[in-house]
Amino acid sequence: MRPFKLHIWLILLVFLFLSCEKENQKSEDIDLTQIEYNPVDFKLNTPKHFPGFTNPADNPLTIDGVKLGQHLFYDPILSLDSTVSCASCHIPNKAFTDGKSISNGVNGLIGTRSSMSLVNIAYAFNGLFWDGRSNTLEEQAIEPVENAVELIEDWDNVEEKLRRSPKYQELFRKAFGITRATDINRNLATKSIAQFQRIIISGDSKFDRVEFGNNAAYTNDELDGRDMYFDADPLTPDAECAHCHNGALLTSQQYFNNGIESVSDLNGFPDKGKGGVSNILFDNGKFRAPTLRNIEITAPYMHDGRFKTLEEVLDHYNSGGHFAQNIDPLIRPLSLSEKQKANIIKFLKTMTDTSYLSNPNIIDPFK
Amino acid sequence: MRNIFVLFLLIILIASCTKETGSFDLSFKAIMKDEPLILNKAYEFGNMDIKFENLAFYVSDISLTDKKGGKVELADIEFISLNNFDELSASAGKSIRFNDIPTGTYKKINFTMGVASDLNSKTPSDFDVSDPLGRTDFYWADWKSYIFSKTEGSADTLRNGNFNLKFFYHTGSDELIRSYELVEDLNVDENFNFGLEIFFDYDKLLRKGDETYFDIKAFPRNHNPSELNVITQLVNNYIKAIKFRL
Ligand code: HEC
Ligand code: HEC
Repeated sequence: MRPFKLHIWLILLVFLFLSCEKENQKSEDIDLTQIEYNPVDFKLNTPKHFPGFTNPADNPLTIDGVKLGQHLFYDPILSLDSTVSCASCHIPNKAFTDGKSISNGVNGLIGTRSSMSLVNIAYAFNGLFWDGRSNTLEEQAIEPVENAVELIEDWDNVEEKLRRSPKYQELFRKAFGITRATDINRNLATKSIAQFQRIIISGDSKFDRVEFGNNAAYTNDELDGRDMYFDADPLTPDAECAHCHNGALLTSQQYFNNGIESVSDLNGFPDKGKGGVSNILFDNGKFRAPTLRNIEITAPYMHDGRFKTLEEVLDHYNSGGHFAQNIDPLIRPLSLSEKQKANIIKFLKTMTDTSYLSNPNIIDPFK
Repeated sequence: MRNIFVLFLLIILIASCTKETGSFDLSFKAIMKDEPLILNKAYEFGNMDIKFENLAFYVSDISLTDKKGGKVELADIEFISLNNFDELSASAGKSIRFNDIPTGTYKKINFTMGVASDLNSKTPSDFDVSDPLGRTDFYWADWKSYIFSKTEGSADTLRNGNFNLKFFYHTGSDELIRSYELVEDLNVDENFNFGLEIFFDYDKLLRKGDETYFDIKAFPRNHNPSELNVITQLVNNYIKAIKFRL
């Protein structure tokens, strides 16, 4: 009897030791209540000529929430090997795209789609990603971390890394008023990243100033391009662009087949786009019409980055694209001359505005 | 004391009496050849076949009028998309339930096809991006007007199975607003959901003055803001194309 009892004690002791060790490996439950929590609204100045957007009631913008999101966005701590951050594929001076046809992530793994601009993403209301598969920024930010190509990290590990970091203990406490390090979780992390992304506003391009202000004017060539873009002048060809890329945000946020893919039928699209999400055959090959704001600096173009230059994009639209049953009726041969194509491109370049790069809340806080 | 109590009860009773409300359902349905219209289905159209691919429109100023002439506003604006890909969803159409309508029998319903001019003088930037009037794909800046309706599809002009002629008719501008009134007893009851079905017969919508079909081949699209003929005809056809069922 006695040796057996000893045995039990021994086993228990080992267990205790083991679990202790496990506790040690995990973040200690550090009390954070000494750090001041004093949330202050973040006052977002949006351009007067922009529509409104509804901020989710359960994630109001606060100064410290945005700050935490800004740090997480630029911090490779979210990736498996600490080499890649959100900003690796969403680079500020490329309007938060990455300049690659197809983005690659950790270990140089190659994805399937081109990165997207995050400028004015607060106004997204009709689905995120090229195919609209995600609804909110809060929901969206969960994905890149565990994406098999992008950051390939496990959220459990990320939470662990963040809980152990004194810097993030403080940032999370200030942002969300958590009381213990173990309160740090993916839900709060993605909320703060969403807050950060919502403040990336761009509305001060030449296009904005001419169309909605009164202290700027287009050159003749730009104006000629503008009239074709907006189908505004009966004497120049209609380029139809403004039906899909329009409004102050320069996007309708709707899904179209703009004829870039040559397919024999609707099942033939290599990337089904919207159809892969809605499971409606007629949606196959439809993608969200992205904003053309800052298009000058977000090459290459389209969901798969197939066009290297705006000249190639204009050649595509001028050709009328590849016919498919669901091609949008506005995509048709345009009969634009070389000069007219060049003028449309000149007009597109009036949509560039990188003034947000001087906003300390938006750029890399680690630099 | 007792009197006060009775008075109190009476007031509550009266207050709750006058507050009796119910709901009213409006369903919008597209039909073609007397059947629910299904997108991407081939329909005979004179000497060609057509498929519809995008059907949507704005309805504004929807109101009920009671026997004494009192008006109950149901909605300022509704965006109605009738893009249904199968029989089931096509026959259901798009339904909107208006709640908290005082109960009683109303004598008519009014609505406007298009965006009533007070709202049409605004632009999408005046609204939230997700608002019906925040939609920039339904606004034409150079027209200074919302696009009131889109009727889009493709035609097989040779009847050889090749639907390769894309067509679209987009209506808009203040002159093309059309208002309708249906004089009929309409009930709003606390316990039952009464409703009205409004059918849009697209077979009647795309016809010329002489009742023959639009010449889709010659005019597959309207685009020039000054070219109002085709779309004026289209909105004038509403009177024949809109049907009601209680
Ligand atoms: C490896 C490159 C890569 C990394 C890392 C990455 N993204 Fe992306 N991002 C993309 C690509 C590619 C798309 C488009 C994907 C698609 O449509 O399927 C995208 C799309 C998005 C969109 C949708 C934009 C829109 O207009 O719909 C948001 C928002 C976004 N990313 C935010 C983030 C955030 C936040 C992080 C970090 C947590 C992140 N991304 C990390 C490549 C990346
Ligand atoms: C029928 C709607 C439609 C019309 C008209 C249209 N586009 Fe597009 N555009 C789209 C869609 C949808 C995409 C995304 C397609 C994809 O990636 O597969 C796109 C993508 C683009 C891109 C690439 C954006 C990026 O971030 O990669 C550019 C540039 C562009 N369009 C410019 C134009 C110009 C210039 C015109 C007029 C000549 C025009 N578009 C007309 C729907 C349209």
